Amino acid sequence: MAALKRILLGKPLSSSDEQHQRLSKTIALPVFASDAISSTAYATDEILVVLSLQAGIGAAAFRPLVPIALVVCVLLAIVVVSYRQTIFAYPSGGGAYIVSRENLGHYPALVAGSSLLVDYILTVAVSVAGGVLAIRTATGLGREWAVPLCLLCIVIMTIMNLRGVKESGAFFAGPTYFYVVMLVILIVTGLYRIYVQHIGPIPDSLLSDGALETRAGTSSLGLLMLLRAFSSGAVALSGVEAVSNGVPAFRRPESRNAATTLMWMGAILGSCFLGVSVIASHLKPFRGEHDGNGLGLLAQYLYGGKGTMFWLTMIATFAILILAANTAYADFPRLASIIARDGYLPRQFFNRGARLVFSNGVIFLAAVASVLIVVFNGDISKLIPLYAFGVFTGFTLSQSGMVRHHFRLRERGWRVAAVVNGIGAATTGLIAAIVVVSKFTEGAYIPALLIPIMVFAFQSIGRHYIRSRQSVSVDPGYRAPRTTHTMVVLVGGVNLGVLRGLEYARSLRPERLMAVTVASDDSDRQRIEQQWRDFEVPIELHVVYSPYRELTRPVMQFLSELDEMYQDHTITVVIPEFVSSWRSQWLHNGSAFALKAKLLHRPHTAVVSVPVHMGATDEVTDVHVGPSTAHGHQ
Amino acid sequence: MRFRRQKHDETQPSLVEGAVPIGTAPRRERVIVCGEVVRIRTKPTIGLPLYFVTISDGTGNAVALLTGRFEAPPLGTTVVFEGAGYESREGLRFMNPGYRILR
Repeated sequence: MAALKRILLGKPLSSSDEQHQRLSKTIALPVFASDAISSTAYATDEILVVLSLQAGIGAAAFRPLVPIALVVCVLLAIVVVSYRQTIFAYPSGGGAYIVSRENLGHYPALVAGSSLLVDYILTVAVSVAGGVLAIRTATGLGREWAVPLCLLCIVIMTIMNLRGVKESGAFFAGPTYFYVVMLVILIVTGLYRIYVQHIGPIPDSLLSDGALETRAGTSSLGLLMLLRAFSSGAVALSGVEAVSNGVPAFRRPESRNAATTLMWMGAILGSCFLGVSVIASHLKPFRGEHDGNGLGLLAQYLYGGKGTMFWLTMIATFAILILAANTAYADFPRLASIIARDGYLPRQFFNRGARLVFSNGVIFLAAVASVLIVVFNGDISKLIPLYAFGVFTGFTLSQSGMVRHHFRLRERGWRVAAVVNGIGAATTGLIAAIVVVSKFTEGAYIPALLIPIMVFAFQSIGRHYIRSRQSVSVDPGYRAPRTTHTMVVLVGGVNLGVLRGLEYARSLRPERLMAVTVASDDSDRQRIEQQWRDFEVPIELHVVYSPYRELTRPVMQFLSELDEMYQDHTITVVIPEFVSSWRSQWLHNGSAFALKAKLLHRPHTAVVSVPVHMGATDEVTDVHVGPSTAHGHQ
Repeated sequence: MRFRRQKHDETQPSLVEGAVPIGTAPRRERVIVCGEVVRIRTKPTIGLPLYFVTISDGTGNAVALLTGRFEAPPLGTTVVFEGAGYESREGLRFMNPGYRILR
């Protein structure tokens, strides 16, 4: 197992290597921005889906496209500027969670934390499902391949992320930059052909029947549909908070490098999204309900068919959609570790693994995302409505927290900064409300219910850790009361393990030492008493009657009676255990395992396992264990 | 481990004539108690044959210290002790009481 782990994950890294695992800006950009940048592949489509398919306004759908894209870009700028301030104000990372915790209190912080955690899980599920859908569409693979391919992608990404942040960043950098380059080429080509060559809209020959039906729509656009279109386009913002969450992963100076990366991410995301929207508004890529993505249609038209450039663009799109999930892999474990450090998640999320990554967070994320994939059958259309609510809840809380931050500290220029953050909070709050109202029945109710449940669970975990701390905290000068020591060696017969266990117990010189065996009839007692005499064991033997052949209950009862007799004592239960190879270990110690599990919860009781390794054959011969002594707690 | 199958019920006639519940048996007076053998303690290597036999009737435990005997009443049997008991950590204790095995 250790060899397999090393092959898959690489050699362990020492804690001092952590600085070397930090990310440069060029690696950090794909690691933290692939989610946000990948949304350029579907955000324009999402707006058009609402306007042309749901609102049914036909050719008029392309009129509000660029204005909506511009408003989203303004919103993106507000959010980026706000998060830039957050990065400098909170260089230890944590994003919305930390900002909310510091400025709004722990309930809003837990809401922000759970929103983001839910969203990261959904990011993995949605991105992988989207990428696999694209691959299936291009290659013609059937629906039955969706779940296995999604799970395979999750496994590969999990292994890459368990290998370490830097290595996974290097792995994901290529495809992300490749997508950005292909998208920029597509946009530049499109703008050139529209404004220099003056090409017209996509001809009917390239459109499907469904698309032509969509184009024939004549309804008028209502305010609700406009807001829904805007909120759908605003999914482009999902993933923007990733950089501010991951500031500690950057090379020094962390905050400055993270801020630069965030600005680059905002610039790429905003310009590409706007560029695609401008091209789409001119070329009018109508799509039917079951058609492929709009980017593919634009590429096919602009490059004059399904040639090399079309395929390169599509391959880059497939890759970025799958790799977008990697942002969640970078951020979920970090955020979970911060929440765990605050005592609201199990401590295991705070521990770094052999490769200096928060392995438990990575594995948990992969497991839950896999469950979602299986439950929703890898269908992106069922997963999408669950998405985005968490992101905008996080944005709203983060920016509200920043407003409070400015009012609290009143640093230079705080009024302008507070206004920027205030506008961001109000806008993202409005979008969160629109998302949950407009998509409630389609699945948005799931995160809306799940987030309060998670907050309740966080609270319960937090209370447990507080109680644990309080139960073991003592004032300076406290001295533990002296207790007497009763040692109880569990025996089933006389053998090497039992004799070693008895000798070990004697060496500790307890006030009381006894051996206990459980007998279901008197012949068991006579057998072990005979062995006791044969081996001249100088220790008192208690034979406890168990008519129903139980082990745990009679032993627990025996210990309780000892407690009644000696109220100031600590009991140590010594259990001789056989240790063999991993293949045959399960044949031994079954009863001892159950007993140890029970004893773990018993107060004033310690449990000691005395191992006897099966290979010690010479010593077995020395003690002349006869055939009648084969019984033990094996 | 405690004597459960024949839990003592003070409203029922005792199994043995004159027997009293272990939990309420007077100390340092001659009494008869009856119960199931639930535990036997021994230390074979001290030279003197010695058994501590614990019986239980559901109201308490009584321990009989039997010296000089190489056999103890078998586990799970119902036994009657007769003698003057005294208080010990383990409950009522008899030193070499008269005993008989009922079943």
